[in-house]
Amino acid sequence: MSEISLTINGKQVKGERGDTILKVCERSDIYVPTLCHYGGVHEVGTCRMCVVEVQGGRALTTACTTPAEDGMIVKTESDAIQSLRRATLELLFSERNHYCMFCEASGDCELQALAYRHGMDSVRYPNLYPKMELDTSHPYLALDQNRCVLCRRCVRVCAELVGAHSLGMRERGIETLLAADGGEPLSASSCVSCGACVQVCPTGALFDRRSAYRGREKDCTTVKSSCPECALGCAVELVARSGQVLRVEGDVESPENGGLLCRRGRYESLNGHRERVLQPLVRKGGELASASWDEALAALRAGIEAAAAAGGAGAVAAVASARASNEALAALRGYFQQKLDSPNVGAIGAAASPDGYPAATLQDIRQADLIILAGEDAGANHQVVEFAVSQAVEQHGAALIVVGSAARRLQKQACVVVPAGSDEVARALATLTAAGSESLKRIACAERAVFVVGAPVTAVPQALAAAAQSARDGWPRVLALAPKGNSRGAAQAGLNGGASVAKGVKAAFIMAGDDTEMLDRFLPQRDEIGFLAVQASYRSPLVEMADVVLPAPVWTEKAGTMVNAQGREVSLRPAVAPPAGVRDEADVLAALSQ
Amino acid sequence: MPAYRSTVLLCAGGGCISCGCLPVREAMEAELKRRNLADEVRVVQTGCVGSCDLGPVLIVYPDEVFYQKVSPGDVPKLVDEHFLKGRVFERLLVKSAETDNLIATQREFAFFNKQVKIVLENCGVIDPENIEEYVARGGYLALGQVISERTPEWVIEELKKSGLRGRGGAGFPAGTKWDFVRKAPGERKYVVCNADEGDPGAFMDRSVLEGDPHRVLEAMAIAGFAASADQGYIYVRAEYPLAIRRTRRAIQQAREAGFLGRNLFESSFSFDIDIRVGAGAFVCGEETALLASIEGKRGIPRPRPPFPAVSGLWGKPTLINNVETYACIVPIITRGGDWYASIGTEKSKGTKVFALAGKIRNTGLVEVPMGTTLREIVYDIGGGVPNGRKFKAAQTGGPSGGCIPAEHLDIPMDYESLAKVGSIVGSGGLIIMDEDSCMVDVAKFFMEFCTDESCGKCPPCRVGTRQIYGLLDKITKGEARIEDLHLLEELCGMVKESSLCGLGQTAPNPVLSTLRYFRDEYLEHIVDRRCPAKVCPSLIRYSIDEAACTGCSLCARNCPENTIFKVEDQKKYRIDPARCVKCGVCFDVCRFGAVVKS
Repeated sequence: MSEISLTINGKQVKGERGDTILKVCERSDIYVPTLCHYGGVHEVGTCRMCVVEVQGGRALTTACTTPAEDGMIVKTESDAIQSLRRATLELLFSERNHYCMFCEASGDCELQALAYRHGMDSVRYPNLYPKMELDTSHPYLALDQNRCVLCRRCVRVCAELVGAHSLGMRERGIETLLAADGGEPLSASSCVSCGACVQVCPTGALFDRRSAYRGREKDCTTVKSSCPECALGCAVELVARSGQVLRVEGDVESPENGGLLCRRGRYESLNGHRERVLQPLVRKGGELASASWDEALAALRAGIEAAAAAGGAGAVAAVASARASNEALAALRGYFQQKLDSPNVGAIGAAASPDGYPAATLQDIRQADLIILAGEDAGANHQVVEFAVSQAVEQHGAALIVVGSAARRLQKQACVVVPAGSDEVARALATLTAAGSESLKRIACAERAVFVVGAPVTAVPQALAAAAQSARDGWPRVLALAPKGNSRGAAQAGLNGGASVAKGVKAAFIMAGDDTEMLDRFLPQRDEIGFLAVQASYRSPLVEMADVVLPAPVWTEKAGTMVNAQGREVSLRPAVAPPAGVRDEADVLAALSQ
Repeated sequence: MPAYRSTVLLCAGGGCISCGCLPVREAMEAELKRRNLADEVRVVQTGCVGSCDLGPVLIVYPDEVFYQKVSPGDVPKLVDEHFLKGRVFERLLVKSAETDNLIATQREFAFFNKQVKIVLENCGVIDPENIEEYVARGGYLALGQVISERTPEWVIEELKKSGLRGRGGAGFPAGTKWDFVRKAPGERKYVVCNADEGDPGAFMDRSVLEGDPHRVLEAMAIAGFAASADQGYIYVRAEYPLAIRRTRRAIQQAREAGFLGRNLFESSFSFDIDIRVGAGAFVCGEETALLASIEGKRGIPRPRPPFPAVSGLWGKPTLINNVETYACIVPIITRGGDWYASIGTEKSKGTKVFALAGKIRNTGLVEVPMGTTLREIVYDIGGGVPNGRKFKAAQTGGPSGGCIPAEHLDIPMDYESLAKVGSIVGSGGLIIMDEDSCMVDVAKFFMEFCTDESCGKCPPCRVGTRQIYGLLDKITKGEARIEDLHLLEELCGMVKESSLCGLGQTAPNPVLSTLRYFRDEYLEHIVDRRCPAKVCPSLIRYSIDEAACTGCSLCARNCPENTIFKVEDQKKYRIDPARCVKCGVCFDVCRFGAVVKS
């Protein structure tokens, strides 16, 4: 990168060749108003807010699309420029319903902020205010065309970052409308419900249904945390107000997911209607009844210790979800493994990373020139991976090989598809290196190959690495997906991934936490287990059959660390306090050990 | 080829086909056969002759006798008179505008004899569906010579010498553009022909494709040679089915003849052309929108730079010119850049085709050297304003252009002079207006067009044109206040300065130029609530002069709203002003001048 030097507003500033004028301004902390600009997607120069004057230029030009050149003399502010910007805003305000006081986004709206900044206190043109439909068909997000300024941020994000291409434009001129699939209701469209469009919308046109009208940004607290819904551990920001989490947003500063989240992470974990366990329960006279923490802990200790006394340490089992944090797992091991010496301590979903390959980040996937996707997890259950793969293929021309029947959307972008049932994937993966095959040719010439593998594939054949003859140093890389948020952490703690309650166990402790997949496990074994204690966030059949129930916080309420699929430690931070009566899992178990 | 005594050129341009020239052809052929003249007289169907209001038009060679408004019924008499009796059939001749004398030949007709045809030299002369006729006129010679004997640099040098500027509107020097593309780094390059002619009233590009398609194909191949491109695209609007059909056929013929395809003239140079049909968006005439449309995307403009010469079709360097520009290439190559530069003015070289329309006696396509005065075009070629009305203004350049008032009638029609008076050459639309044209209404018409055709991408154009239209509408309704005029001027300036593409940047021009020359007319609408041209319905009223009314009831029977009633016990009619919708039907039908517009 060679350095260039420009004069902006009379000041000497530096930039790099290939920068736009806007980029140079950003580097030098020179404010240029923007509306359609959004980092990471291509510039369209639509909103005309960033017009600047380049000396010698024929007319004003948009800073976001004009390449900066060495020696350029640029003016970003002048009376003429200011009044043009204000006039553009005035036209935008006259176009549709931009009466701020009734808008969800008021206070957090970029259009409104620009209007204040440019002193636009009235609109001299008649308000055109056409009648426009509100699309509330989607369960999580809504589209109000009245507030849309047609900046096309959502369209570009949906196409370029997500790869869904659901959003686009229809009609033209003053009739132009944002439309999903050319005019379908959002719920009937190809929308993948990732919510990226909502996060980038500068106004209140696309908004989150759950958090709408529940608080402006200044009234809310924002906490950076990590999503435990899958093993990627995407960086999130939890937006909360008055003890409630309003929404989950992708952390745009994360180099990995960069603001993108999947439907599960952004919406499903908040939008469930599950009943919480809010205080300890102890079975008395055949019925579960509320109890104090002291009572419940005493009952737990009594049940476990009685079983150990009768049947030895082997009669006691403790099973956690591999979604539990490292701290909770350590506390579990502290009591059951170290104190009681139980051999039956495990974590469902614990999985070690496969040997022999460096771990691939999402960044690596986006920059890869060849991606092999194998296993059913890779597409359907890890949308964010799917987005990264789409980006690599569509934006950078990477080749894609899909093995297995999952990742249906990505199959359309693949150059080779090897169909395989879920039990055949591992074998099919091995056939990629068959002599003379199209896949082998692709692998042989790839410099930066990434293998993305999900269940049921547990190992990547060494033959793949051997076939990658042109690979650069440190490549190919592997992203092995794991079943749970902290699968790697649980495996690193030495916990058994296929944990079950062994025969002869008379007392079991289940650390389910907020893992809803744990909630009907062990039901068939209930009769064999004499004493069952469950630590869970939600009511469930398992909870109903337990002898002791300890309420557990959900992920937005707790602190801790996890190890994601790539072996990177990610942190959970609480956005809200758990409800009164709910105690942190690790603290409770630590108390037991004493 | 058998020798014929005489050749009948039958204009089969879009206009003449609409007037029914094809039945005339059938009648002519049948009649010639019946009279045993089929071996002596040949009928050739050509492209547009240019005088579109006179169709169907026949020109009989070798004497160049020009027959107008020929109907199939006229044919037996015409054949009888002209071919058997050997005298001109006077009833179908054109009358001179000044003297009422009959004009027998095309040569004598001022509409034609003041023109200098370069772009249109073959239009109306050859059969566009027959490549042999094009070749017989020297077609594809230039391509062959360039490929066999010249270098791309030579082509560009000749083009630079010629001073040819893009005829699409902006007037960018063609040689410089070709040179940019030639020098742009890249393996793959494209040549594109913009045939998405959209300005209301302009149809020279259609005429060239309909009348002489090979000329464009040959020029594109030369462009391909000069720019090292091997693929060309012609982007033509779907509203031009005849142009599409004839161009398709021409491409096919050129391929068969070896003028398109691989290894042209046994060289290593290959070039082929495909047609892409636009779906009816005016904005797709803007080059970046056009390229997006060829790529199969929504046809919306993008900011430049990068210019198409650097990054165009699929990101590759792309040479894009319009039909008329390409139509100048072959003569420049054949006769030399210096020859071309000898025509026209100092900075605007060559000829320009104008589409003459509106309140003028002879309408149609006229090709004149750059720098010909507006007066010559209007009065000498166009035959002046009919019905004894006075010339008020000429609108040039379509929705991006402006008005030229009578005081500037002697302006030379070239890029610089038109720019000086606030208008543009543009694509060559030339609409003549007389005293009956309201300039506010004219501005409103063009603004409505731009509002409909705005792609909707940037706010200044999307919302700005709509708000300008709203203000003009208010003025024509007599509801505006003087502040609205100031707002209008401010808004026009803003839309011009901050729109993304040429459509928005030029959309306010018709308003700005009418404001410049006809501000009083705006003020009359606003202050006096009066439309001096008596055009704006809200500002006029119809009444019946009872002294002149004969009570024939024609007006009352034609009134769509039944607002005209008979005065009791009198043979007179009256209009109920409260219910009158001001459609003007009564005014048009009254034979006694009794309906008065005020």
